[in-house]
Amino acid sequence: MISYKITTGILGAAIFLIILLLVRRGKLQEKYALTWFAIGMVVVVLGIFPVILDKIAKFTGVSYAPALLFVIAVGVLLIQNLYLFIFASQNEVRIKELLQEVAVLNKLVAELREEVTFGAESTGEKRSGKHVGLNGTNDPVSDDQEPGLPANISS
Amino acid sequence: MKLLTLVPVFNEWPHLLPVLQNLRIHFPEILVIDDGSDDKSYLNLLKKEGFEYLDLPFNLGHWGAIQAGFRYALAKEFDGVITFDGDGQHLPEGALRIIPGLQEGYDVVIGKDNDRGGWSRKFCRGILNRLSGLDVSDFTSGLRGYSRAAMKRLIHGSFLNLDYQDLGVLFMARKKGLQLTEIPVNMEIRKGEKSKVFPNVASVMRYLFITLTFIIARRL
Repeated sequence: MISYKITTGILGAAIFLIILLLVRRGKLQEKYALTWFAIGMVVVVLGIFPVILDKIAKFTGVSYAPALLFVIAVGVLLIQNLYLFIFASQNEVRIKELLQEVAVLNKLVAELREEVTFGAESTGEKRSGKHVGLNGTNDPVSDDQEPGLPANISS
Repeated sequence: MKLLTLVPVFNEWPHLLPVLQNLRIHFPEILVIDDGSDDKSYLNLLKKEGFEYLDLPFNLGHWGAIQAGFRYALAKEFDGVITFDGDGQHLPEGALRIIPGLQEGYDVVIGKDNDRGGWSRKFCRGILNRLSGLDVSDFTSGLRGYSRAAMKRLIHGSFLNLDYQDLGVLFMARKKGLQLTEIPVNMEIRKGEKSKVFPNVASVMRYLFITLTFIIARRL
């Protein structure tokens, strides 16, 4: 049987490694790695010195020290989870605002293009394919529309 | 007064064109807002018929679509907008009755139809009305007029958090010092189909929950 210190040590190291890997692959931003490193740190420290937990338990009046550990763990996860929900709400609002702005700008650009094409050239010139959609291609779907129109984003 | 009529559309094609053509008789400036419909091919037809439209790449909800319309109206320097449902529930005559309210200087003009909806809906409306302290009898009405000042206010900050064009919008608008008024209008009963916003009981419960949370969080 190995010492429990090795088990927790491996667990802590695994957390660190996973976080590093995620940061390296660009899945997790550096600024969000901080809290996870802190959690890994706590795992390692408490694993090597379980006495700390016992002392905190005695101080807070918790008779069964592991119960305290679970309370703290659940608490930390709850706070993190709540933070994520706040983050999601914020992002939703930002995306909404951006999408509204983009749709309006698209429309205004289309109107300007139409003005330019109508003002300047004949229909032969309009069909020449010089006017490309916003995404840089001459979308075949929009063939029956005015060439000056931006291509549909969703299509 | 230069007015734009906003018609948010989400997957409700069959009745749209006749409704728009009817509307065009009284309102030359119409902007259809496609709120991320699954099938966008009808937009080509709208274009052929000479209707202007705004194309949202994905669904933002009724209020989000209307906000996009606000932004367009502000960019094109309209003095106000009228929001009009494309499902045939609203009548152009009703929309016409909104205009005097805007001309009198009100920021938000609500076209109310108190006969609309069953008893359960009236009951819920009554309770929410009482709780919110808002003296608006038909706050779910989608037939509304907004002044330019109102639009400028209603596209920012906490207004982006709202999902429905209803009580929340009115509550916050009043809080921001905008002038609200109600005008009685007649509405058509929906042409044999269910509400887009509330297709089932779960969606109604969800709506009630969201609105109650909204009120409680702001009135306590």
